[in-house]
Amino acid sequence: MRVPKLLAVLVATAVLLAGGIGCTSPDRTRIVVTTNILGDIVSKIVGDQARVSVLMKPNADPHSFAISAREAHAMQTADLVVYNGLGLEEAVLHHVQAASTEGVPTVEVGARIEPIDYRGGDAAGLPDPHFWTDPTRVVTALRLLTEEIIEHVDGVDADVVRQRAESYASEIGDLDAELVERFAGIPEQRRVLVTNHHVFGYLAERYDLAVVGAIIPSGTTLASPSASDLASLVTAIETHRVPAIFADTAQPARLAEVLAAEAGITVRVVGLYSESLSDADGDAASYLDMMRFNTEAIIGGLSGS
Amino acid sequence: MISASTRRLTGIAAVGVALILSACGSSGDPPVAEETPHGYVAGAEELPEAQSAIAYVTRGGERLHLLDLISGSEGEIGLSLGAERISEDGRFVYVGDGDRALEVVDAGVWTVDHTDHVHYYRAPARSVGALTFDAPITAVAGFEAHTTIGTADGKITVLDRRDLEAGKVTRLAAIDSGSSTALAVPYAERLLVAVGDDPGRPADRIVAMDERGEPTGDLEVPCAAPRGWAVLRGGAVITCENSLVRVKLEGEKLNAKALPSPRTPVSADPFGYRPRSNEAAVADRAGIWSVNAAQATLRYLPVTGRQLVAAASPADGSTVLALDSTGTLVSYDLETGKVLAQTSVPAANLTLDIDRAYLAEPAARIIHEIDYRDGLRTARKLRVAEQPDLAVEVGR
Repeated sequence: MRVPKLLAVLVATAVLLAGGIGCTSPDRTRIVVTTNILGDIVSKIVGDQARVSVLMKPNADPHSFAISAREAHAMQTADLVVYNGLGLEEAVLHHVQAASTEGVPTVEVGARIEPIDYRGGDAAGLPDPHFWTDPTRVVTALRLLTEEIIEHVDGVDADVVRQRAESYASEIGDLDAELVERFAGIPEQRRVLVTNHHVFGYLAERYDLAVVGAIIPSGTTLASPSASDLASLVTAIETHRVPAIFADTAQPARLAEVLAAEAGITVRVVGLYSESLSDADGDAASYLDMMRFNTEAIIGGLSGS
Repeated sequence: MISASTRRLTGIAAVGVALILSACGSSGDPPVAEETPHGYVAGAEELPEAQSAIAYVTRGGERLHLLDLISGSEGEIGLSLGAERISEDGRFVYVGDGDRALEVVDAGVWTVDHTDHVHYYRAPARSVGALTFDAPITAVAGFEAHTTIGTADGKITVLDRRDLEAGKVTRLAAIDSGSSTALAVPYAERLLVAVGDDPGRPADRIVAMDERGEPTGDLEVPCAAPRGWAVLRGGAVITCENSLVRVKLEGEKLNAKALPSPRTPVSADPFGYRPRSNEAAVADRAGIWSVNAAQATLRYLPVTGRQLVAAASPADGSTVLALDSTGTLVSYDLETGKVLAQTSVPAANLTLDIDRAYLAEPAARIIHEIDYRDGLRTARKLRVAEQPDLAVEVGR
């Protein structure tokens, strides 16, 4: 009598186990990635081998994007959490730490790609988290992520993942070779980015560009600027004789107008993608698209074309 | 043999069930509450530059106007009271009826401070709600986690300011100051409360309390008849009759430093300063007090030949702005007291941000935008729809 009862319990357990698999897989998010740039890279590596959840929406700010309680929970049950780190994702860092406390392996990619320091500004001397503007560092990141994924994520086929990673690495390698050639085509004295973006340090190092930080008048000062409001920018433009500036501003046309009217300077004001991919219809829907868009915009601006 | 293995197997089966339940449970429906990190509000848009605006009312008026300083366009919010007093905390505009009623309006523009950089946001403006008190309102102070409202009966009402961000008025506590002063300055997730021992007399000390009005035990400092306040980068400053007190969070602990005033009594007017700076200024008719919170230094600049009505600090370490009773705006050298520039602006109030100062001229319906780094040049004269008798700047 006892034996059949015991079997019944075991059978029930087996059914529950099967059910258990049903409620944790294959829908369960295996990899959670904070930023959409890293999200694109991780998705390219894993393909359909594992479900990847990217927390940061298109056109968002990595410093301040928010996540839902559901997403926070998914981080704690994932096989792997990938984040940029070096201070980039302030608002979700505590969730990364909570996942780590729960025993989820986490990868701070920025810390493992030989970060460089910010050169100037309030943050001078601190590590710069924006490593993705250097494709060779993205290849480094891609290789280390591939090994982390194979080690920690259940059910992925290591060969398939390695093959995908290598194929993507070669695409990024092609991008890098293309950028080397394109930037080298600009005379050295014109390879100057006058900008208020603080994200192009790695790009500048890789392709031998000079980044000249400038205070770019914005908001209310653009309505009726004084010489002192424009001084930093005008000095940078005149010193480096650049035909274009790369500004993060809500009013690019007004800025160009003001420079022409107040300082007699004609420059193009060019916007770049910096810290977020665009949505699928935008010019920077993927990492490779973003890099190509920025490169063309920079070269177009500096060539005065 | 059988019985032993039965026990063992049952045990295994039980563990199996428990594991499955926890696995399913943990991947099932998590709590529905959404996370809202500091500075984030669903529906708010993050923008690359400050979304500063002038909030103004016509005295007794029941509409709060919001003049967008970037586009020059105006919007308005209906009020449930006639406005007689107006103040702001960077985002919320507190409109009083001059008696016991207060309406809190979310101007929908604000800046979140991350120390080495800031974030700028915009969301729809709206009235959050109106409150009525048992006695006339004498002080309103909002900063980060809390908003406090002091009333003439010596009581202080504490509101949850983060709930105000979510559109909800939550009263956390009512504190009895034991004095005729009802002032509590929100700072470092605590309240710096003016406290006394006689309800008929002004407070004589500042005590740090939690949001429920319980002393936290980490600060009690003498301050005779506390009056004005400012929360700056390098700490909170509170004016007392004969001195200023600078309170600063150092590690986990609050430390106070008294800065004796070279001239007494210290003005009871509000400080003029810009958020996230380190300097603030306050004037009486005959002089200007200028305090640096980070350095814990106080300067007094006597002024002759004119009667001052307001002062504000551009926080450049070297100048201070003051407005006199004839409508002249003056920029002084803090060190020497020399007049660096002056210009005629027929206004009674003065506010400033990191780039510009704003003065309202009610009769002409004009907001003067002054470039205080460029010889008090008038950058713009912004014409507004109604008479701006009471005006403040938000989103700065």
